Amino acid sequence: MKTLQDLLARRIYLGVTGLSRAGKTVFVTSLLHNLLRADPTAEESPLRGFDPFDEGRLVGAMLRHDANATVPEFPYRRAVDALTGESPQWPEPTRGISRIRVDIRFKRAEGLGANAAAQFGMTDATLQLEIVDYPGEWLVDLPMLGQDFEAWSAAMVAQATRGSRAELARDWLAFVSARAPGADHDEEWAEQAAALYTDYLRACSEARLRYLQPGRFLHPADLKGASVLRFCPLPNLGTKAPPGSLHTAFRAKFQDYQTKVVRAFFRKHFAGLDRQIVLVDTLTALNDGQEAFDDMSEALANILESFRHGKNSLLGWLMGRRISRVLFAATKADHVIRGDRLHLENLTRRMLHVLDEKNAIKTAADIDVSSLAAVRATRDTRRSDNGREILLGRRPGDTEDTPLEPGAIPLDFPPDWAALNYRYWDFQPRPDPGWRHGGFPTLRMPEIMNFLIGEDLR
Amino acid sequence: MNDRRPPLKGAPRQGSQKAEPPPRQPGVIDPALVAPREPSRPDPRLAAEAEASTAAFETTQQARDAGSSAPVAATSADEVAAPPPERPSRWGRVVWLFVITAAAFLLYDTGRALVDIWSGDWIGGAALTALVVAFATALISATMIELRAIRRLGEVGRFRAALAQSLQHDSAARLRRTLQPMLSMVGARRPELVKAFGQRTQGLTENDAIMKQFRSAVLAPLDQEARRVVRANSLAVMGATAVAPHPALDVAIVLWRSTVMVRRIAEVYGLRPSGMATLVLTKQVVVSAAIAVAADPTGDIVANTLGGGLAEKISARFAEGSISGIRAMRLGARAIETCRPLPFEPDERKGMWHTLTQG
Repeated sequence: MKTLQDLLARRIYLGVTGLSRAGKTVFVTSLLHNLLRADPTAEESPLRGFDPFDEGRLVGAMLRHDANATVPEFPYRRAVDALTGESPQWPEPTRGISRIRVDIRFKRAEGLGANAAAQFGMTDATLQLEIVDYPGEWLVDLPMLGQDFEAWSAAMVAQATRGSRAELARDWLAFVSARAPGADHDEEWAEQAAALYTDYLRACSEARLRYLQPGRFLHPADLKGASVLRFCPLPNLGTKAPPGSLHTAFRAKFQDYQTKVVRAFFRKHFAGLDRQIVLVDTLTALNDGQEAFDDMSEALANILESFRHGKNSLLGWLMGRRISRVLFAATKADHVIRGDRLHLENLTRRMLHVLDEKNAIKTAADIDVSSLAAVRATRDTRRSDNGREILLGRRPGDTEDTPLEPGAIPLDFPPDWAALNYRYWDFQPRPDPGWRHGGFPTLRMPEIMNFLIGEDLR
Repeated sequence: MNDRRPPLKGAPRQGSQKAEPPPRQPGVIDPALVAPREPSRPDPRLAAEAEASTAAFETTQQARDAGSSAPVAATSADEVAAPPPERPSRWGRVVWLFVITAAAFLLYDTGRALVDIWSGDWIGGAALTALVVAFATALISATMIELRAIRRLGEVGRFRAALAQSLQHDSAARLRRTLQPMLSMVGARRPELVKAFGQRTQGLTENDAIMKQFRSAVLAPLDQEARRVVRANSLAVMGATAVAPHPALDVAIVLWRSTVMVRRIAEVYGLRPSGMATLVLTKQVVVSAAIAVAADPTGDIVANTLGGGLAEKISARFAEGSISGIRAMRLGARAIETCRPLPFEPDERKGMWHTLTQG
């Protein structure tokens, strides 16, 4: 019976990605939890505004644990427990790729197809929503496919000597500069160099820099300890690579990385996606200052490259044109006051427009930008003395709701760094016993669901 | 939503700090300064207060609109209305004076006659007085009802204006107050819609979300119903004109069914029109339809050639019927747009043709 249903059901693959700490885990958890806890008889529902729910057509959703037996499953249960526990916390971030499937049962909307189906007694239908959660860092690897090892090395070394990276990269650069690229290959030395390079990338990541290649060094997932990761960019490369030298060995590893890691990922996971949401943490980047913000912009520009529709796309032959809708969501919209959420959306939209040199986003009807808070940790209120909007929320360590006035969102991109210092608070989820059974309060989540899967629930 | 925040950033944010012993971090606000939460649904205890404020709001609205004429007339009649004459015509004054004189004569004469009868025969006098009083009361109350119905037609225009205003202010409470009169008008006929709206907007604070629920929970079912009315009436017109034995009868049928249709549509949207108000409304609809035809002649030509040309091959009578049926449908569509509290959104229009043709 289940097999028959699987055959009849429509299946949608929704990719969820974003650079680390952008809120992927919280988004997936909130999406699943609200779908699973959807109840039309409830007084207040976070799904209000989601069309199938408003029209009373959403019957219910079920998690399917049998669908992806061999791929890491998204830790939904653990994340909900973290968010709704005694002292609620943001869930542990997921590492690497994970999948989870939820079957959404719904009544068909009126229409020709539904009328025909109703003749056979099929008023209900099932949408199998498969959520694929993968790190956005892996998408940053995409430009590596178009480069050879020498060009890539030169670019990476040049990047490593700029700005605050120079300090972080000193150990690694000193280590690899000590040995000429023409010297004989030594696997042990390679491992050390790769480890130092990984340390450098990790340090950058902690310093909130985002444009880090290769992304697998940071999130190796199933490749932990694999020999393909034992390489790094080399400085002072000559034009000739003597056989058996470091240069040759690293170039071979780089080519392996291109075909067996990057291409394999795109072919196996990315090519099958129907919808994609890219979470962008604009707020934190603003908070971290100009260098982090510019770095994130650069990483985003590379991610954008993956969604470029059209024939000239590097991966056109690989992924076809399967992804039909892409949404860029500026997360943590609950961290700013109500009037600023539109500005957050506009700033993100403007940033993407600037980064997107070929104007794909501006002209495409199926790419949208929105602000989003998948789990709303604050409440809006006003000051009683001057009527200005403020937030009530708990920063890490607060034991009760604190009234706070967060910084304003700059209205243009690039932001005027000299004029303002942007300061936003971090908030912890509130302990609310209703969340476990009623779903998480959200901001603009129903609209996002309408955009991503609303059409498929007809 | 769109208003820029006052340029008080950075340092002025600390202005809220008073000289308190523990210095607060910038941006952290004294809990005593937090305004109490606005209730998302009016508390029963506060209902009276809310009612009062709604009433106050309405009276200000009325005072503001007292001079202006009926609602949609504001949009459609403005376009056609000739500029007002420089000086009011003297003949108007003459006619009014004549009417007033005649009425005064009548009153005076009736009074005199009653007094005469009363002095001769007090029983007959009492009976006649009672009758006259009853007549006068009935006349006045009927006039009042008419006036009120005509006033209610103005509700749509006032509501649109008030809504546009309150959407500019980003306050959910104010938006709810603005929606209230329209909801009570709809609620008199379809209380379940208002209830559903109340349940769906529970706890919503975003204006867009509330408006979306208003459109989908209240207006969409009403549109559905109104379109069914239009469909039934235009089919009736189509059939009746096809079988009517005399062309003069066609005109009568079309006039009669169109008036009925306009009236039913107004009822669907809660306007509850009476006789006079129906005439006013029909006039508005006809004017607006005429403007539409003048502005868009192709639509009519297409309807005539397509509907008529094809049907004429089959039967001339049927062709006439289909043309008048299509006209009735167009008139109905205009009537819906006149009576609807909000203009159509592009994607709401999509279902229109579907319902009109398939029911």
